Amino acid sequence: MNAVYRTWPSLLSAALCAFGAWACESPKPPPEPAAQPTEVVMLSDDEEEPVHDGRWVYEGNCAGCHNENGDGQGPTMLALGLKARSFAQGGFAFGNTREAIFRTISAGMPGSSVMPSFKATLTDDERWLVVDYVLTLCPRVDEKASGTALTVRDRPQIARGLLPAVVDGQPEWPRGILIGTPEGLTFEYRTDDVRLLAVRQGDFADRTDWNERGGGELVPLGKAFFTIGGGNPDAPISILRTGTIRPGRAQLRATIATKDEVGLDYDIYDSSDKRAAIVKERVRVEALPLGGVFTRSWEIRGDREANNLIIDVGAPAGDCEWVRGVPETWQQIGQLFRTPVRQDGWIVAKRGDVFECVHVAADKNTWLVKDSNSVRLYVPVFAGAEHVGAKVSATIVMTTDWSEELLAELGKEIAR
Amino acid sequence: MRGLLTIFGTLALASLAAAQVATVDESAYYRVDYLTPPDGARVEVGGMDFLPDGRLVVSTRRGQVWLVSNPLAADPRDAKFQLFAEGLQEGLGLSVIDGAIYLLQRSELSILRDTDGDDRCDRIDTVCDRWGVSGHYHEFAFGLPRDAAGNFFVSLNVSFGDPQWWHGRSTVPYRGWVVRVAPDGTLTPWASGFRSPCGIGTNAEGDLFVTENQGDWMPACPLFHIEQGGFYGHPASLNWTDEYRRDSKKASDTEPPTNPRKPAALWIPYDWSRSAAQMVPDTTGKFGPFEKQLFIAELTNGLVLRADLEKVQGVYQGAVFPFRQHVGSAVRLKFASDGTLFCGFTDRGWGGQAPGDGVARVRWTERTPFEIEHVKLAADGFTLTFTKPLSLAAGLMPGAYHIQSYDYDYWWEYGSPVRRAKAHVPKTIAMSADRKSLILGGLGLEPGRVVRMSIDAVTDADGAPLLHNEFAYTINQLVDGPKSDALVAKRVDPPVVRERWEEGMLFLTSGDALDSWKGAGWSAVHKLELDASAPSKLVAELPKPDSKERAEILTNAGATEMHDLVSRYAFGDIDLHVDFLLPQDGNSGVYLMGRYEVQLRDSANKKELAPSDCGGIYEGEGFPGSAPLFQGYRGAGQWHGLDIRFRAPRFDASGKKIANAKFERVMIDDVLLQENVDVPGPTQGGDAVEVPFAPLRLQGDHGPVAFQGVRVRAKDSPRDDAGWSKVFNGRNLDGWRISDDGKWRVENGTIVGSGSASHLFSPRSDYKNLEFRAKVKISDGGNSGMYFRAAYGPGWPAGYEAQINATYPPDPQRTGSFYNYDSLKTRLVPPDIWFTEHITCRDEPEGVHVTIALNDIVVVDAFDKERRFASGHVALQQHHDGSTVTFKDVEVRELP
Repeated sequence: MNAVYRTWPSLLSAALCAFGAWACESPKPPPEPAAQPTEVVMLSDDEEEPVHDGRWVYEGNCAGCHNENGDGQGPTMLALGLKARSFAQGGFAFGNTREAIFRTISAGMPGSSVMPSFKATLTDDERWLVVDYVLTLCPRVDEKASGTALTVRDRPQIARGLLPAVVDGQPEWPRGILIGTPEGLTFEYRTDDVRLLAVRQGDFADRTDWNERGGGELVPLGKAFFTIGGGNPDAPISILRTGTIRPGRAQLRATIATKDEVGLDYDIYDSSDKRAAIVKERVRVEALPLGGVFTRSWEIRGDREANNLIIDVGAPAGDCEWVRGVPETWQQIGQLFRTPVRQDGWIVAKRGDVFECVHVAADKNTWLVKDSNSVRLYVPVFAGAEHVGAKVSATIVMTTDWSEELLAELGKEIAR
Repeated sequence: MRGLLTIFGTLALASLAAAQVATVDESAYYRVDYLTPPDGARVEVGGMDFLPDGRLVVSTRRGQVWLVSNPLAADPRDAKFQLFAEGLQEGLGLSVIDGAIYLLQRSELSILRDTDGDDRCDRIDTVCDRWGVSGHYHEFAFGLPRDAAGNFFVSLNVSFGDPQWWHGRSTVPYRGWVVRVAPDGTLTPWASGFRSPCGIGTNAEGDLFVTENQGDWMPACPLFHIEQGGFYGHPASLNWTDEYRRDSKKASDTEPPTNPRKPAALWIPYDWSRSAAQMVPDTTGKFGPFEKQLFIAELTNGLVLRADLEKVQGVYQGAVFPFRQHVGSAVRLKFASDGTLFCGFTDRGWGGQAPGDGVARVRWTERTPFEIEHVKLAADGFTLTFTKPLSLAAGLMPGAYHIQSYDYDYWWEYGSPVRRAKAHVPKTIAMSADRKSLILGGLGLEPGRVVRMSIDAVTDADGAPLLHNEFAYTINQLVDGPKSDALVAKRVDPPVVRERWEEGMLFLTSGDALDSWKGAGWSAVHKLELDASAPSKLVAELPKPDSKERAEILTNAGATEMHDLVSRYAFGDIDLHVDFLLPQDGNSGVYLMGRYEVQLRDSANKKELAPSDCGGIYEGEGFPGSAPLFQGYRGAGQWHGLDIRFRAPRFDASGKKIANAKFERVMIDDVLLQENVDVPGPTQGGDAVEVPFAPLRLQGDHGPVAFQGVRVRAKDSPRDDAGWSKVFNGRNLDGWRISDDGKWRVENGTIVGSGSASHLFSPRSDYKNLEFRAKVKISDGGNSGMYFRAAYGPGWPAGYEAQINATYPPDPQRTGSFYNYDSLKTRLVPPDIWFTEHITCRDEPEGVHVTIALNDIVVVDAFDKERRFASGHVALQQHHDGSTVTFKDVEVRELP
């Protein structure tokens, strides 16, 4: 047997060591699917050179966690007291198309069932071999019959439509936007008062409004690994005046999807419907050997008068255990208005098994604060539309494990 | 295993007497060709315009925008599609301004930009998103004309809701409005009263128009001239007027609003337009003789109509004409500068004619068609101007003109039939010196009516007939006299609101479809269509064994002998609905009371309609018959809905007839064919002696035919309350006895039975001869019953039972059955719908005489000769856990 079993942290380290060996590029178009084997050919026990096929690659790289039969109970997982995805049960968190599985293998998986990226350890061809082999381990699934699936090709794609509730019981969003990236992440926004709802990994979207008379939902197909406000978040940008914080209304102005940037432009209006700021929000998938690492950035300009804005970066938030780099609380900032505390770098909070690692980068006018247990940015915006009030960004990593070394490596890569 | 029946149609007994009218060859004058859409793409067009470089921009319902290079190429295959943008939320309006593509999405008006010049959209600017979108599918946004100042106009659909699924709602701002959007994005509500205003555009003069689609408060498909502040009829939109907002008032679903309404410039006959869409004027002057006239896209019929408007006393009105058929499901139109009319298609979910997507070009062949070019209202008449001089004697005979005027009802029901139809004959006919115009006078015209005219015997100087010989002119104002307030859509008393449209009906072909009929050779089948190789035959399919497929189509296809089909029940005054399908040369009929026939015939090509054509009332002794007013029949192999409101003859106590049978209304697919036709006696082939009640007969002895969806409703009669006493007080069950620990309860004035089997016995136990009635609702899968002469006790009561049953199987005796005496297997009333069950029970010499009526139609008339039960309680049954039954108005009238 030629299997190489590695525990995931060591594999992650190996992947990190390989920084620079891989680059962020679009996956090659998938080769035609290999003919499905009608039966699995058993490898003989003799000393012949094993065939370098999908099974061989799988057993060497995947079976440690997913097990040889794909039931997710490989020795590594058992040793860690965890369970990996069972292909035998047909489970693919991030999509079951060839492209989606390829992306998952290439990018890894965020969140509590963490899986490293194999982009550095396996070639494109090897990853496609694994895709076809893995598909033989799971029950056959019907192709999407209706032909209404949207896929993201060589550049980010934006789709507008009626979004179903992110979480059951929450409202649907008649005006919504999905930003799909070639890396397989989808950013889900409501847009009648612009708010990021969730970030997903997997296939892009199903346009059910192409059926019947139209008006149906634009269904995101990826799995949400990051959700803000339970799928119904408060306004992310608020206005601070005379000690009171009031939510701003975000009026969509444009969507942008070029090869170089993707995101939304919107204006922030105050409670008397006066424009307080002009915002460019961009999203970016980080080229890191971890699944689902993304950065949101905001470039904020003032309008006719100066304003103080508070931006909720979305994570960490809510009931979490603060582990590292806890920012000053809002109350302190309030007292220290003229001598604010500024902080860059990583904040780590733990919720359940998952660590939410947030890296905030901000220019000199911006201060990081903690308010109601969530991380916020305090941004004074000066008068004049040409005046850039702030350029801030937050990179978010969801992981079950973290280390100072890992964060340091990631931080360097983000700064690049 | 799929059953297959094939049958040869019997030879038509009488060949069609009338000569087939030569097929109109529109293609000699207007040629249609089709661009080739990109591989695998469905281009479901929602908007079209041209870029300054000549490329056509096409937006689609799929939220894609295509650039078409070479759109005017001689060979349509040389026009190439290239995807510019995708991922948009529909695109039902598009306008190019100074090279910038403005797109109307469902949710916003946007500018699509290509910032790096690679012909792909990479930036979308939001111009305006200040209208409400609730998430209901029907909230389409249509556009996108502009006025001289650069303002955009957008028309916003209502959503749907109660009391019927198609009933318009306006739950978020400006649904049902036309709104104006200034270039800076400011939104101004402009005009209200719309429902589904799919077409919005300007005429050659730059005035704004909207086409509407038939539905609630929209009797047919009109063309409206839009004025700021105007109200156009649909009340839902009024929720967003200052007045309603100030008073927190909500639009009524059923009561017509009192707000003054604006007239329609055109009401398009419903057989021409079922789904009107965009209109464009020919401002190129290169599209033939109709410069400045409007062309209107028609989706369902797949054609393009033409309209010639004029202003009379300051109000737009005019004529609409058929223009070019067999184009496709046209929704959007756009003229290229060379006079090519581009047609964009989509039919998804709406139904239309092929093609249902893609783009076509209609081009004038430079041959002038012989057409009615203009229709102008004159003093009590019209001036018709033709595209070519007429032959000398053409059209001077009054008999050459078939002229009807009519109007509509304005109400919450879906659409209106043609109402108050009247025939007109010209008193004077004159020809102009240049022989290009005819002036008709003395017609007796009135404002607030539509005049529909077809003309025979008019030929050009070469003797050629008109390409299209008909038009419909909407009169809002006469040329002289005082200005009129009359509208074509007349405010009338709103129809009775029923909880569900099915209420009060008996469904005669649901479930076991044959059980309610007698007729040798008839089968109940699952599917049926024309035999492709022999269209005078029908091919039927039985349901697959053990499948849930229904066999609810009745046909004589496959029978060796052809017989009529006679209903098991007798009817008097009824509203009848029948869906029918004929093969080529098919001939059948619907005999009301077995005596008065509405003819069904494959007569789609007939121009001059006779009583023996489809929708005619057949001739009888001393009765010449009545030809249909219009052609409502579309052709062999298509299902048609026939609606008849019939009044039975009346007799006095001595049996002498005092009023003739009468067809108050006959419609096919909502086209009014007959109105208030008195029939003095049975028509040919009808049973001889006239009676007050008799079964319905569907003709099957003249060849194959198929029927489905047969339902009847008895005429609403005043409630008869004399002598009735309420057994249930509406508040509690005091005095009632419950068997078997049943769970009976009182809810909102009703008795509700649920849970395990139990019976609820009336306080009195000594009813003998009686009438017993109640309003009943039974859950799907439920079972219940109304007992009479029943003894109190556990288990199934000893007594007679009138059945209530919405299970099948296991209990084949359906609602209306006299349990174990007379069983009915058809699902006459649907579950979860209120119906009335009315029993009479009386000792007679022959035995105990029991009748049961459902919804006022007697379905059981039987005797128990053994006289098993003499007296007892009346009782209600709760049959099994999982079944829910609701009763109200539980009443008894004792009989001597």
